[in-house]
Amino acid sequence: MYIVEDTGNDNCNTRVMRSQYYAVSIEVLMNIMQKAGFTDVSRIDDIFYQPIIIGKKL
Amino acid sequence: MLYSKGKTINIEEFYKKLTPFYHLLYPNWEQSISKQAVQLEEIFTNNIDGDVTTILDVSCGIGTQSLGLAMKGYSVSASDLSSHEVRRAIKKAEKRKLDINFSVANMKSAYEHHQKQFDIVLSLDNAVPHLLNDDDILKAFKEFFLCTKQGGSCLISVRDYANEDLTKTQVKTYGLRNDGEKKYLLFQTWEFHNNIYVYS
Repeated sequence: MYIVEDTGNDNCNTRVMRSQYYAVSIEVLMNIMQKAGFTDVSRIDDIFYQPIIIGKKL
Repeated sequence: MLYSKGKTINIEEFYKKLTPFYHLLYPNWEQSISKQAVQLEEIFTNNIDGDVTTILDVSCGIGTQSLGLAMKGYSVSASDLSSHEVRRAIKKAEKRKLDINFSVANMKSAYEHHQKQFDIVLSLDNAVPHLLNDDDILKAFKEFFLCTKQGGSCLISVRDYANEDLTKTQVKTYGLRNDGEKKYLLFQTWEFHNNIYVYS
């Protein structure tokens, strides 16, 4: 993440933070949730700003 | 472990540096707290049988969802890997006079840490893909399962990588943010190494 602070001067202050992610698909995550024991694993779109995966514990 | 410019990437260090600016990821973080709590409650109502009273957030960050859900009256426990984020979340809760049980814990040892079960277990804001392989994700999900009461549910929110081009470096702009008298521009780059990417 680059965060550029505009100081109003000719030069800006820039901070950078680095991390790493696994670009894992929702399908794979749903399968892993089932392997962990959750049932009725499903996907909910259009309510939260990201897709939600929900699993139940019976 | 991947490297960037010869340096090791450390997730604790990443969140330590991001914590003071985390609210800038949102156009209006304060509004997002309330808005997301309403959205999550709608999901609970539509998808969960029985009452929801207790919630565990295993990747609470600075408390975006935990604060809003506690404001709605849920009994919330919240943990995160980043002690810096948790400290900021505690201050936000104190300011709002909310009683949230915050602690520092790795989601891969959520049950070992909390030793308790909840109606709902949450891990939102694309936290799970910080785990870099399926085995680590399975380990975390097994802990989430142990933390979930019988009849309860677990909710994960993630980026939909099916909608992203993973074949080349991506540049993502978050936008321009005014914060008090200061102005910030936020953007990210994603550099791929197969299905793992360095996020800068």
